Amino acid sequence: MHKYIIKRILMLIPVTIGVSLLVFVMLDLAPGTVVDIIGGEMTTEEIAELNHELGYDRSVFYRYFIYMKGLLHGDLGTSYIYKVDVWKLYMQRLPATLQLAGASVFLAIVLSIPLGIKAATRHGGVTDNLSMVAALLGLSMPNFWLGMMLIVLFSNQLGWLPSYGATDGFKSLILPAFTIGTGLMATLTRTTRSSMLDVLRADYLRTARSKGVPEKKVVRKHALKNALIPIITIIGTQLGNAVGGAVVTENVFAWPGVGRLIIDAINQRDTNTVTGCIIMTTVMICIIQVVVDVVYAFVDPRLRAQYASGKTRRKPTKVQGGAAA
Amino acid sequence: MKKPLSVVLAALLAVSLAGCGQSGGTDATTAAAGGAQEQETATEAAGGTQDSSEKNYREHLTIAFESQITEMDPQGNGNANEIHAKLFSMTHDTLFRYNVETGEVEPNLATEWDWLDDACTKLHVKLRDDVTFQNGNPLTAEDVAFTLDRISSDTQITNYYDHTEVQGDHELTIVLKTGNVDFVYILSRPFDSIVNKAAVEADPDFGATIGTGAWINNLDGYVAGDTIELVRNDNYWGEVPKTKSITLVYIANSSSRLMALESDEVQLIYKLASTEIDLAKSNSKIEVKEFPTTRLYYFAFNTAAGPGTDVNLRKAVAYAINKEDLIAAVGDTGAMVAESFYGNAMAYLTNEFDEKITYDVEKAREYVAKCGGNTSLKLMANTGDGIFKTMSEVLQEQFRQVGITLEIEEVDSAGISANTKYASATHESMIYSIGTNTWDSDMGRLFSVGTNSNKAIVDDSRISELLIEGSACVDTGERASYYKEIQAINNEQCYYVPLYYSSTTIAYTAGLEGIVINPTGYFDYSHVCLPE
Repeated sequence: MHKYIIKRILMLIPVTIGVSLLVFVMLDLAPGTVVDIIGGEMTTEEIAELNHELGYDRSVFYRYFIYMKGLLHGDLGTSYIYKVDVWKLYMQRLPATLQLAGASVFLAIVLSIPLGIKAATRHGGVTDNLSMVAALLGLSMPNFWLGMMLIVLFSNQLGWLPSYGATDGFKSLILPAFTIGTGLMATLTRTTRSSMLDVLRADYLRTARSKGVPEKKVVRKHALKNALIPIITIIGTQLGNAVGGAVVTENVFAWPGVGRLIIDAINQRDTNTVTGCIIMTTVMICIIQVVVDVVYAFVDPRLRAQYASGKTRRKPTKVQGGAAA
Repeated sequence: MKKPLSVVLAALLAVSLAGCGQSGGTDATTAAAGGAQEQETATEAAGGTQDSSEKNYREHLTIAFESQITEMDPQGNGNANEIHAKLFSMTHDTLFRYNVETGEVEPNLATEWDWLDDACTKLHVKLRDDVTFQNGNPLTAEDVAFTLDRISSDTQITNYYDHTEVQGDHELTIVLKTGNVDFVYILSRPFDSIVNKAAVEADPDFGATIGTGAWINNLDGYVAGDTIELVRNDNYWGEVPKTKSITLVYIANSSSRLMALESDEVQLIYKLASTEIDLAKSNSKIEVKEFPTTRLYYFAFNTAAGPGTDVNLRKAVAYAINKEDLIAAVGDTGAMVAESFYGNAMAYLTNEFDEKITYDVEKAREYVAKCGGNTSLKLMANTGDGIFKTMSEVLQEQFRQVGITLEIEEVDSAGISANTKYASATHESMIYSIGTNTWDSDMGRLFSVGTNSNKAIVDDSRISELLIEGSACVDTGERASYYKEIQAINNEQCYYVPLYYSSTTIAYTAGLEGIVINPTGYFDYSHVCLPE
C-alpha cells in the first residue's frame, strides 16, 4: 500500500510538468499578454521595458524554464496583476474552495446515498420514481439559475441567509453548497441506485436471503459494501472538480474561491497566477485520487490485496490458444 | 480656468447625496489658500437639512464593484481606471481636487499654486503643513517629489513631467519637459495621489497603501482581487467620515449585486444591467440614479495600413452608421449621440463642421462608389462584452445596407490591447470606448504618435502640432481654436467615428448620503454614510 501511495505521489512530477507546460503554451498562444492589460497608458518604450522585465521578449520555453526553476525552490511566482506571491494568493482562496467543495460533497453523500438505496430496494415503486424525477430535476437545473432562485427566496424574501461572499461562516456556505450539491446529488443518487440494483440481483445475495439473513442486513452489510466502488469513484471525481473551482457558482455567490481567481487571472493573462493555481489544483486532485484509492482498499479486500502485492492491474490470464481471458 | 460645458454637465451630474456633513449641504472640508477653512460645496442634502449631530449612522457599510480592485498602490501598473480611482479617493489625497460642479481645480494637499513661466513648464506649489500620513509621518515636499518620480506607467504624466525641485518642507516646483496648462487638472486624478516616501522605501509591497486619506486600508481583511477592508482615519486632516468601516467587495455578476443590495447586505452598487434598472426602481428600499458619463464609444480605423487608409471608405462608414439605432440596440437609454470625436465635458467641444456627418445612406453609397471595389473591412471587437457584441452585429447590418462587407473578429480585452498597439497594430478597424477626462489636452491620448491609446494609429503632423500648442497655451480663445481644429481635422479625415457617450447607473439603500458622483467615473465615497 505504501509503495502504491509513493508511486502515485511520484507520478505528480510528470503531471505537474505536463500541466504547467500546457498552461504556459496555451496562454502564450492566446492573443495578448499581461503587459497589454496593465500597460494601457504606457509608451512603447515603457511597454518594451516591462516586456523585458517579465521575460515576454524571450520565448515561452525560456519563461517556462525560469518558472520551473523557481518552482523547484518552492516558488510559485508573483502575480503580475495582484503583485502578491501566488502561493499566498492561492492559500487565501483555498479555505473557501475546500469549504465549498467539502460541504457540497457532504450534502450530496448524506442525501443521495440513502435515497439511491431506497430507490433500488423499492425498484419500480413510488419512492424509486420520485427519486429519479428529483435526480432528473437536479441534473437539468443550471447552477446559475438555481443559485439565483435560492438567493431570491432565502436572502431577499426570507432574509435567512447571506446572498454573497464567505464572511458569514456556516450561513454563507449553505446556498452555494446546496447549489453545487444539487447536481452532484442527482448523479450520486442515480449511480447508487443502479449500482445497488446490479448487486441486489447477484447470486450471493439470493443465497444470503435463502439462508434467512434479514433484508436490512442483506442491503446494508452485503449489498452496499459491494456497490460502493462506483459511488466512491463518482465522489472522488466530483470532489476533484469542486476543488478545481465551481466557477459559475462562485460567480453567482461572489464566493472567493480558486475557480474565480483562475478565470480572472486567465482573462488578465496573469500566467504566474494561472500556472501556480493550476499546479496546486493538480496536486490537490492527485491527493484526492490517492485518498479515493485508499478508500477503495478499505472497502474492497481484493483491491487491498492487489495494492499489497504491488500490482495495480490484474494481468490477463493466459488460456489455451493464447487468447486473453 | 473656466470650463463652461463641464460646469453645465457637472451641475446635471453632481448628485452629491450630502447630509453627512453640516446642515445646508456643507459636506467637505477643503483647505483654502492660507489655511483650513470650511468650504461649502454645492452638494444638495438629499436627506433634508437635519443637523448631522442629531443623526446616528450605521457603523459599517459595504460597497460592491463589478470589477476587481487588483492593488492598492495609486501608482501601480494598470490601475488607472474608474474602479481603482474610487479606492484611491478614499485612502489617499491628491495635491488638487477637481470640483465636478464648478469645473475648477481647488486646493487639497496643495494650498496655493502658480505657473512660474508663460510656457507652463514650472508649477510652484505650496503644501498644507498640518497633514500627516496614516502612519503618523508628516506630509512633506519630499513625498510629493517621490510620488511624481515613481509614476512610470501613465503617459499623461510621463509625457510632460521632468522633475521636482524641493524648496523646503512644504514648498516645491514641478518642472515639465513640455508645457501643459492642464497639469494641475491631471494631478487631481486619484492615481496621482501622494504616497509616503519613508513607508514605500520601508515596505515596497504595501508601503504605498499608506496615504493621507480619510480611510485606512486594513490589510488584515484584504483578499487580493476580492475584498478590501477600510477603517476610518480618525486623525484625518479634513472632515472625519461618519461611518466607521467600509468593505469594498467584488461581485462580478450584475444580478447578484442587485440581490445583495435588495437584501441590504450591500448598501451601494455601481452599474446595473439595463434590464434590471426598472426592477431596482420598483423597490422602495432602493434608490437608483442614472447619469450620463464622459465615456465615449467610437469606431476607429487603422489608418496606417489596410482598407482604413482610404478616406472614402472611412467616410462611407461614418455616413453609414445610424447612432440612434446603435444606442437602442445596446439598451443604453441615457446615452447621448456623439457628433465630434471629443470629450463631452471638455470646454472646447464643437459640433460645427463644414461637412456635418450624420446618418445618410445615400451619401455613404456615394463614398462606397469611390472606393474602387475595396469595400471589405474587418472589425475587431471584444465580443466578451455584450455591448460590443451587439454593436458589432448592428454595424455589420448597417454596413451591409450601403454595400460594405464587415467581418467581425472576435477577441477578448487582452486580445484587443495586443492587436491594436501603435507599433504593431494588426486590426483594420475596431470599436472601443475611452473614459475621457474633463481637460482638453486629454485628447492627446487618442492622437499622439506612438501612444497605444491612439487606436486609429493616427500620425497627423498638424494634429501633433496643435496638441503641443494647445497644451501649453494659456489664452483660452487661442487654445479653443487649436482644439476645435483638431476636431475639424478628425471630422474631415474620419480617423475615428464618434458613436455615443454612455450613461451609467448606481443604486443604493434609500437614505444613503455622501456620494460624490463624477461623470468621469472618479467617484468619491469618502463621506458615504447611512442614517439609522
